[in-house]
Amino acid sequence: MKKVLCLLLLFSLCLTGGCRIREVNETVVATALAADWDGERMVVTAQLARPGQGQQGGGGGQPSALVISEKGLTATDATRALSLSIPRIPLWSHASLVVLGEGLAYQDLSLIADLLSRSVDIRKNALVVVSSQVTPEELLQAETPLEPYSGMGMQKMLRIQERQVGIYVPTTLHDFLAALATPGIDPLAPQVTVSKKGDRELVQLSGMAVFRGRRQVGSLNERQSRGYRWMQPRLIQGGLFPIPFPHQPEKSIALELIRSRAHITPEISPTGIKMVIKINAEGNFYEQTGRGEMLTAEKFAQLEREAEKEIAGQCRDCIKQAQELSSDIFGWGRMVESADPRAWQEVAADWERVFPGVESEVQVKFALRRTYLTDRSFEFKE
Amino acid sequence: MRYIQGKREQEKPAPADIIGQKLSTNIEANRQALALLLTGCSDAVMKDFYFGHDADLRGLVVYFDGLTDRNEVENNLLRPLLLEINMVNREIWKPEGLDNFSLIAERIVSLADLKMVDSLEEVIHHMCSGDAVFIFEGSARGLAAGTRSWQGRTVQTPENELVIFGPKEGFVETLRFNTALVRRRLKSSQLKIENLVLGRISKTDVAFMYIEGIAPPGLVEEVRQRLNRIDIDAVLDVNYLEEFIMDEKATIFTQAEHSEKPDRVCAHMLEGRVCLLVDGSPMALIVPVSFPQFWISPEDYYVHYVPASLFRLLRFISFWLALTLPSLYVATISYHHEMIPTDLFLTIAATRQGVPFPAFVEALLLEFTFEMLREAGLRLPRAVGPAVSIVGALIIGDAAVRAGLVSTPMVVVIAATGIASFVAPAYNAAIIIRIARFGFLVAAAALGFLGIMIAFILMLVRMASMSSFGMPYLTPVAPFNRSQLSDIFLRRPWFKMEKRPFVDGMSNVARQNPDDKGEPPS
Repeated sequence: MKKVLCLLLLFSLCLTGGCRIREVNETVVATALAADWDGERMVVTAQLARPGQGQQGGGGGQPSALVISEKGLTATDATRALSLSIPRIPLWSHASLVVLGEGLAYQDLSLIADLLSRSVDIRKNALVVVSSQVTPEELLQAETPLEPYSGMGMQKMLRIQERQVGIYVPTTLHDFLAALATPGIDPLAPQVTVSKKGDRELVQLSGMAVFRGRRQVGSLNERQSRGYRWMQPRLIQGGLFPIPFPHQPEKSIALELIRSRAHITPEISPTGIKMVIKINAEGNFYEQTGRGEMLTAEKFAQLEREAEKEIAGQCRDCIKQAQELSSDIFGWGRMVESADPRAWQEVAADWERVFPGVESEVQVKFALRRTYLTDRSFEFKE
Repeated sequence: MRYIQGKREQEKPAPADIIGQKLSTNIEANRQALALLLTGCSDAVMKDFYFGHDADLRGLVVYFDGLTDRNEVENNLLRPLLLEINMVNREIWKPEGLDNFSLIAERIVSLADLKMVDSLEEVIHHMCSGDAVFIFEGSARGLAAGTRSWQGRTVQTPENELVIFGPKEGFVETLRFNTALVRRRLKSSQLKIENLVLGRISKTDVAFMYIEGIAPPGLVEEVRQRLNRIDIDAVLDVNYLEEFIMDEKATIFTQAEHSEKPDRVCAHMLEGRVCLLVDGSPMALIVPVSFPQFWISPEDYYVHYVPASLFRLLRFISFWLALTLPSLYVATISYHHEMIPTDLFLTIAATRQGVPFPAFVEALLLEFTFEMLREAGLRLPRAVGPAVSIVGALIIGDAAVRAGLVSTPMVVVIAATGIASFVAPAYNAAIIIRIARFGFLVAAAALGFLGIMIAFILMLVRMASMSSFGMPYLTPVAPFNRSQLSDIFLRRPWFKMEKRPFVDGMSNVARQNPDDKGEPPS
């Protein structure tokens, strides 16, 4: 009898709720989530996957994704308002892309940051992008070729270009929020815009949005974004970068990056702070467009020097832009803190003003490794 | 008819009263008592004969036709008594102080297996076992001659425990054949086969076997005592005994291993276990048992230890799949959508479009259909079986999906579960999994992963609290035993199995000479 009672008690515990069952047929997958500020109110946009489409090839010319926006006093308010117009529960946990509207980015991130970090339904490994020159709604309505849902498409595009081309660094929501909350580092995120090709509107990556504190202050262009990628304090792998062909300025040589690692050490002296950035990179010879034998011992060394110059140039461009915007996207403040906590105490309060004056020295060591089993340059019959 | 019955009851004592009587020296009284007991037994043969030099001694032979080798009775028993007795010297035949009875047994009958019986009950028991019983005038004892011979199945490959490598002989329904199969593998007098008779009506021979010096004496004594305490009218299969002698009655977990293979039985006895055989059943019962033992196949020890270990891992994984796959699927798509990759979720959502039932009901429906088909496939005559499985496969696999009753991923999940459950080498363990799976499914539908965890913990607690003949049910996982564990999840190479797995109370643990492993000379 006691056992039966105990079991009943156990089962009654199960029935008190707390866990909600959500059948698949009651739900709709949100492939992207976006927030913007229209000047007065929050605008939340969701890209929803039309059920029963997409994977199965879609039907009847209907776009497979449904983009829907709603306004509200707060982001939660707007999100809840969305359920007045759709008969299913959106599963935000599937959104692998979080789009921050330009309006919101320039206004104030505090309008959304708390929700993004608190909500259990938002994936912390989703990628963050900032929409540039378009509203998030327009962006999410644009196409990514081959992918039925542009939210997932953009996410894949960002990750793949990092490995293949090596321009923009994808930022996860977790890293973005951490940078937003940590003193001595400022967040940045890739920018996406819409470009017209014929009558199709396609998604295009364009630079990286740079924040100072909780507001966007500017952006990096493609070359500066490459520079940022080199200077991350982690191992980076993959990517392709061109260097000028020796003595033929209009021709170029493409080098493929195997791996690269940056060691950044702050040198703190009474006169100021100097960051020493040492980059060790290895790469392969990928393509040459000019004529002439490049694969000799002397030319090899020359190519390596050329590559080092190029990499250092990209880094310097990036540092210059960041210092102009006075946004410490590299996290130098944190490096200073871990190298010399006392010195950091002195500058922490007005790091924003100290940062633009920080000196930097970029030392690059590039090693050319392989030439893909072709040990001579292509010869032409003259 | 009623009149005759009534009359008979008045005249003669009831059979129940006389079954306990001793044989009397009066052969006519014995004959009448036996005739009364055997009334209505049309297969009983009762023959009177006179023998001796002057044909002056009266004898009686009784046996059941069909159980007894008639040639044997005629050639080795009746012929010596009726004819060859005349070749015996009259002087020997009538010595003083030596009664006819022992003379017949020792000098005349040319049969080795002879037993003395002195009660009617014994006479009947021997007759039922296939012996011919001789009763002689003037003697209060009968002579039971071992002439057992009946039609039975010959030794074949077991149908339920198929192996690719290793011995392929299986037990049959005749106890003696079975003990012989075991004895042939363990040619030692250390192999003890103790007999007892169980069942008030069936009088079934039950044998329990163990290896003296390896099996703990306490265990043997415990088995003996538990068997002796059984009082039932008939024992038709080993399972009758299992349900009596198991430690925990209110549980679905089986507490003995069933096997049809003599080699498996021998392997278990070499590890100190006791094995039970019942006449009339081709199954052996092995005790004590621990749960992890159920995914060990005898074949593991007949193939190289690397593939054997991999097979074991595979079986271990499919054990978990068979137990939890449907519940994991239901929990994930009803509660934990974020755990599914988005692409997969979209596919599932697309296939579930229009399916009217919640995932739980869908799973139950399919599981039920699957179990029904499996059961039908077992019972159907062989000629109809394939037809049913084709129809079943078509109904589940295709028509139900097209009709929108169930979704395709669910069919895949249930089919995978079904296949995984067939991987279990022990059939009775597979049945536990089949039952427990439904519990897990209900828990998953009620609480998601939390429910599965609760169900799992409840199951584990139950198993950990059980023991089989004093051995904890989860040995060697709990209580933990590292050296034994290496032969549970993986298969230890033979040259590394220096000790026997430890059964409580065992003293003789050394299995091989640790210094000499048959290595090539160095």
